[in-house]
Amino acid sequence: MTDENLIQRLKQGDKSAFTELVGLYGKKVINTCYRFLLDKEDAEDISQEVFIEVFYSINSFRGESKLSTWIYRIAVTKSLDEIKKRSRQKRITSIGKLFHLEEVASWLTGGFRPDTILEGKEKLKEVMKALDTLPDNQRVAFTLSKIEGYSNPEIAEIMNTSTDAVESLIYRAKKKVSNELKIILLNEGK
Amino acid sequence: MKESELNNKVSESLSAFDRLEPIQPSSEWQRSLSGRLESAKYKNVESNLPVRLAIALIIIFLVNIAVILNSFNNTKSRVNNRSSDLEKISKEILINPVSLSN
Repeated sequence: MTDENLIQRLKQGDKSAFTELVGLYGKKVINTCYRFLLDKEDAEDISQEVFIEVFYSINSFRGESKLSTWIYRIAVTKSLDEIKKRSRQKRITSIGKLFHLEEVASWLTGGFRPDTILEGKEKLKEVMKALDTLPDNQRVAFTLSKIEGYSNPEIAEIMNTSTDAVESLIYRAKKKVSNELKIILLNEGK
Repeated sequence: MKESELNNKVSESLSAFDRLEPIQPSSEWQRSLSGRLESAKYKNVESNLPVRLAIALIIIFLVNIAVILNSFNNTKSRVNNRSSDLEKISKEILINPVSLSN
């Protein structure tokens, strides 16, 4: 089955084509979201949003890139959006705590509790904190490079840049993450 | 903390991230995706009408404001024009008392 055939069937609203698409890319999309969010439930939730968006915007897909690249790009964007949403919620929760308005903050954030994320996974929590300091492009290149099945040229396609640029982004990200981890560990050791 | 100890801890944290096992979607995942897709479809159709109505109302409101402002400006300038016309006419009609005495 070629991509073109699948796209055509998807554009016609063929439900079996959609099931096929989920079968083909579902696992990789979930694992992409998981690497960014480090939480299985969130990864499942966001990956569903990815496929819902794919389903509703397939008509706007112009075929300038591969179908898989387009889908993974949506997965990356949605994951980054979720990370930004989390940090917004974290800010609201800490402001709420400061003014003893935990209940209001909890209502505003839909019951979000930042301490429950990565509970018991201290090392991953530290990496997540370090990753939060990276600019989006470094974070994307670094995170995707850690997922099995993504080559640098594929990452370059997703990020709409060159392979050389991706290599440089990964190199800079590694360096920054290591430095940030040192600072985090030193602060925690105090 | 010693530099070597710190470096070890850094590489431990990084390798914990590297070694992260891929996850398998739960059995519920596919089913709940179909459910969400259906509800999104329903929501899409349902939410279109109120949005369109709201946009139409906003456009009508803005057009009304524009018409009112425009007519307000026109009236103001018409009044100004009329008063300047009257002034001109009154000046023309007025006979100079000096010229009369001559």
